[in-house]
Amino acid sequence: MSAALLDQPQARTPWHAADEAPLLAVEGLETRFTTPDGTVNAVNGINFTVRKGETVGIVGESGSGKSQVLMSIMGLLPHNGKSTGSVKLGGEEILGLPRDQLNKIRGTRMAMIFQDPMTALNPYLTVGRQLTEVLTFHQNMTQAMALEQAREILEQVHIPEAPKRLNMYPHELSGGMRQRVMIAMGMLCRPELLIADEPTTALDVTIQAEILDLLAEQQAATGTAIILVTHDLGVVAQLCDRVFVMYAGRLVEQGTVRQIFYDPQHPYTRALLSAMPRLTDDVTGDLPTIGGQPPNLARLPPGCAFAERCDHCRDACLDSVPPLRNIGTDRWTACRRDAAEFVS
Amino acid sequence: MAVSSFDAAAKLPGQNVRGVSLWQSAGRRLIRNRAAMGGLIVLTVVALLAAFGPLLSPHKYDDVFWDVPFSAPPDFANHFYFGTDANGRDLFVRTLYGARISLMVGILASMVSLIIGVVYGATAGFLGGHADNVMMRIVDIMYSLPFMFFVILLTVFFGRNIFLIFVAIGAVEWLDMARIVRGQTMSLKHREFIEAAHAFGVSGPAIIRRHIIPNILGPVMVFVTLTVPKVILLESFLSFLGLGVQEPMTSWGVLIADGARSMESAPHMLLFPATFLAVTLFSLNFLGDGLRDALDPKDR
Repeated sequence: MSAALLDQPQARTPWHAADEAPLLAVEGLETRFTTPDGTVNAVNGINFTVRKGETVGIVGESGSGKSQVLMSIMGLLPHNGKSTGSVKLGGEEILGLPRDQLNKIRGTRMAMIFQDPMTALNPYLTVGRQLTEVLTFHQNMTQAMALEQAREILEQVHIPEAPKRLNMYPHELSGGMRQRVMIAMGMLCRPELLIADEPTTALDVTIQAEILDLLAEQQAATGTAIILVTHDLGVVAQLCDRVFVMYAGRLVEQGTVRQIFYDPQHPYTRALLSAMPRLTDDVTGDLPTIGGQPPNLARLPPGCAFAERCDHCRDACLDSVPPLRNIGTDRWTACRRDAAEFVS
Repeated sequence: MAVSSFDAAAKLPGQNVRGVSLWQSAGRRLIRNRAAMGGLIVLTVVALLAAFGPLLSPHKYDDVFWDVPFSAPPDFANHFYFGTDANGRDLFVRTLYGARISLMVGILASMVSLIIGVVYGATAGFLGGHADNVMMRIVDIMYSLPFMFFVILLTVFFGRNIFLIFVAIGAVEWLDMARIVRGQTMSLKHREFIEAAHAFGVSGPAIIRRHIIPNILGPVMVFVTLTVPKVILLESFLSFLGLGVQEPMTSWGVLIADGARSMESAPHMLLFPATFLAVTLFSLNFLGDGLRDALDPKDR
């Protein structure tokens, strides 16, 4: 890798090149946790693909299993967690790979950015050490070469005075700077897939926008694909090409950002969107919420998991889980009813 | 310190980006800590005295001087700087020979316990699950072996030897260290930066070495400074029972035990070795405290 690491924008692969083999293909992914209170079904049979160079968003409320999807892909589940199904990166099965083989992929072909940059950096290592660790570990660089490259990447994520930052400890940097360092770490080996788990949740709003711009810029420069997990629909609207909506460990709707925002099909997506406060709203009343509670993942109902909170629930919804049905190109919903029915 | 090094780096933009390791920056912070540096200097003086001090005196540690009074106070004219002991031997030379044994036992045995304890404890805590269970039960079993029985067994098999004391003490002291380190590791293991290291494909041993051990050094350093005096006292206890160093060789523990017996008639026999021990332990505590502070980057 050279100074021109991120300076040469690659022609961005159009995400709708559907005939091309996907970068990441997740099929029938199920993740279970064995706990003293029984088995928790965090992810219940998820299928999706991520194409080269595209940004997909996974949205859903807390506990909908979106982070667990990422952890399953990265092989970072705790001891009591178990994933089944298939996760293929570039056509290669990576689910259930032994650690030493997974370690050759993690950090190089896929990297992850964590939610809280305050805790995701080792407080005892300088920024330089943390960055060079990835390089010396994966690419057998000498420390001097790695440091030089670390300096370059810090400049590419717009950290001013990069040489002196290398000798700083994480607590000497602001939250936004730390998240930039995390992104720099993620981009160091120029991964094909960057997984971002709520990368802006711990930051304030102005810094959020900068970080999102930075992610978009890095993506444009390197052609990496991004999976962005968030519960912030504004972030999704700003960055993503396609959106997956998750509820109770299942995908309930899938479509482009435009389709999801302007033509939501699933009642849950509609409820989520209406719960999003807007600047133009009348601010005197209560903010709209979704009534009720998400279902207990240890005791999922036999039918649609959202039925209990859904205004449009019918008897059929309670009997069996509604399958994802195709309602257009790359457009899926897991509701038996058509959106047109809800309007009336 | 921090500011000036950054200025230096800023003056040379782009060239010679240098990394500062945890130990380098800790060393710099340690140098600025006066109490710790004072402790280090005193320890160095004591160590140098132990190594070369006996050359300052014309006497040998095991010479018995029949023509001078026994248990006599310091007599500079005849080069008995610390006086004589109950058997008419030069206390100055004996105190410094005792320093050799005590420092060697104290520092070597503590280092042995430090290295074994940290590696073992961090591995057990990091692996968790069954491996942790098995490893910690082994520790429990070793804990339940009576220490004296273990030492007697060693001396029976290998004869009396100063190195057996290192082995025996080291073999016992690392158990405490391993438990402390394991506990710290368990609480660190689920921190996000460890998860991030996993996510960047860093292998288990590298995570232990680069992420876990630096983070537990603070409590470990404090524990080491507590271990050194403990080990020095343990050695004197073994020597008292006749399992440690043998006459005419001596250690601080032995000298203090002798001195305590005659402290009313000849207080100097207690005073000199006890002062050396106290000053050494005092300096060690200062140094340990300074090291703990220096190893915490947030504390600069």
